[in-house]
Amino acid sequence: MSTRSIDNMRWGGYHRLGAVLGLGGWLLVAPLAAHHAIVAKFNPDEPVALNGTITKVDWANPHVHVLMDVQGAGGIANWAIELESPVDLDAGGWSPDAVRLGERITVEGIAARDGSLQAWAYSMTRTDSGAAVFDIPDPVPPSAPALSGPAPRWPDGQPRLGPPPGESGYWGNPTASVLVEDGVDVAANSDGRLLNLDDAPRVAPLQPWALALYEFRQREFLSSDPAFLRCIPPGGPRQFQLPYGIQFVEQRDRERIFVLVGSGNRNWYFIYTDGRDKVGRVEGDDDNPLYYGRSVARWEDDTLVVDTRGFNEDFWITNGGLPHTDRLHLIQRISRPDFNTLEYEVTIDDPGAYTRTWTASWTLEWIAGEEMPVYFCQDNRP
Amino acid sequence: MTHRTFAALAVLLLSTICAPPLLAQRGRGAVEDAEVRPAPRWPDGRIRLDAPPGETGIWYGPGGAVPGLADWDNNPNPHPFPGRPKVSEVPFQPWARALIDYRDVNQFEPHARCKPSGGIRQFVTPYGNEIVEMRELERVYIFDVGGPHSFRVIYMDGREHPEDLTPSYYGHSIGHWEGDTLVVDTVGFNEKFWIDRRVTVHTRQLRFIERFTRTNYETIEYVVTVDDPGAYTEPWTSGVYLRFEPDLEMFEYICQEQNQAADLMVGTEVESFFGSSPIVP
Repeated sequence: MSTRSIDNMRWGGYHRLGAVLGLGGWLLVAPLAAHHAIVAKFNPDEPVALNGTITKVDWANPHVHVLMDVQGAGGIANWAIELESPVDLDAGGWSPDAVRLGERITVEGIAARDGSLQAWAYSMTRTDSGAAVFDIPDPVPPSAPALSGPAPRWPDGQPRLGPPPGESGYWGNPTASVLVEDGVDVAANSDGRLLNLDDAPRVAPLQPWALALYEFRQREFLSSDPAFLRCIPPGGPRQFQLPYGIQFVEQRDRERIFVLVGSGNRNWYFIYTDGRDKVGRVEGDDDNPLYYGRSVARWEDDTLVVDTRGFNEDFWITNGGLPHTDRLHLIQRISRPDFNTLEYEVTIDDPGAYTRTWTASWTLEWIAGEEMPVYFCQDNRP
Repeated sequence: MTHRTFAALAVLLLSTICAPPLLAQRGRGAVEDAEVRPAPRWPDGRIRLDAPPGETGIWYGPGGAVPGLADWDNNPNPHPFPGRPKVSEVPFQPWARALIDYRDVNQFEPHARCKPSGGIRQFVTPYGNEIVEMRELERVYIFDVGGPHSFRVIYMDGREHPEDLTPSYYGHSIGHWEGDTLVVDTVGFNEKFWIDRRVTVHTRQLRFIERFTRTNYETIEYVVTVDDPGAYTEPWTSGVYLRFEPDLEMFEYICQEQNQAADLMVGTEVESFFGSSPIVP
């Protein structure tokens, strides 16, 4: 694990392999990265190797920390070693009880940019035995072929966006974690960081100010991401690009769909299918701009066409930091061409930030028989 | 408090302290029955806990003056649910009793920093809830608006609690119907939140039994048994009324938007490991 680059750290689980498949027209160089902006805090060019004893295990989202005392020239220093999320470590078979306080460990990783005693761990091993702890095994292909077959349908023939009766599952493994206009080839990692900043004008038809802001965010390692700083929700297309999934709960007799957002803060919001206009909630909050916006939808044959407006400007609609304004209007076309596949196409109409409307699309995979992992960004502190 | 003593206490309270407002709220009198709509039902007769098709509405718990499952002894206007204990009647272990006194002075509640908060805390939060039974999916969702703006799931498919449960904010809930009452059994809570507004202490040993009875269109009698040998000397029971407000819908509320304690939510540099990458997802 010590030989991996930061971009090869990943969410864990074989199904993440889906991220490299089915790309439409553009290249994702390092598709398996777990983490947005680890490089915002840690410097991949500054490796560290540490030996010491464990003083604390802090098992909380978004990331687990192991504190260790390290004997140095100036005495004992207490380092904070950052690891994957509890969700991913748990999926890898680990629990906080895997180590004990006072145990000697060896850590290889990269140091914090700010010079504090923090490191992101590429590897953590027991010093005595050399056995790895809190690693996540390499992805393995699924042993059984994935479920296939046609999309399940309601009795009236409309496709189901959730499981058929008696089953469970959710949508995960997005094939894209970066928002790029369909047909454009640019190299980016899964944080949304371009490998070559000169590609920025090609990502989307940005207005000059929006291009400048996008480039600034990129140069700063995406460290101004409000989701990074304050757990601000991943509204807009971003929620369909994150690792912990999406669920649609279709309450048909009430003509509404609950969208359950597995990443971020495990929020929910409504898509109304009752033919209403986007007038806000009943008491009237038309002018209150939202993180998830106001969504109404109708079915066009087998495609749910979701029309969303009413966004605020306080969040990022993409991992890479493409700007938007409160004039943002999304048309999202969601369909299930087969049991296993959700096609997501978003048309971005924001005359405040872009020179024309533009479209991006990707797919998500049905994670059969599982629940969305329980993940709360705000879990970290008391 | 055992069920039997709870029932006895309920009868006592019913007949003495809070009879007039209680009866009015419960709609048990003939006059009230004429005025209050019955609870909506599914075609097969089962009680429906959300608004029926073509209507809207959300549930509100008692307001902020109700600290949770027990009333302060000096409260002149305790929540009128029959059988609710006063704080002095709750079988706290000494440390738990000391903790609520501390909380009463230092109301540093995790909920105020956007932490999800399970149990009754979902219902003593502003802006209401919906309780949505998705019968085909064999689960009930309870959505909250204020605070974490998240949801909990109650499995209705007959499954048991898993043995290797990772403690969580909402715990692991299984439910079933007993007549017109939805009975929900929840275990697997973590200890990183308050289960009500500061008077119910819990540990990971908590088993939380909730009984939801929609007695008419606008009322749920919400009865809870707290079984936590880590914090109490015996199980005890209490309850609150949930009130249905028609013609309202849930809306977006994002606690993080203006949270002034972001440092306490996602980390600071105060200690060496604060300032963790508070990263999406």
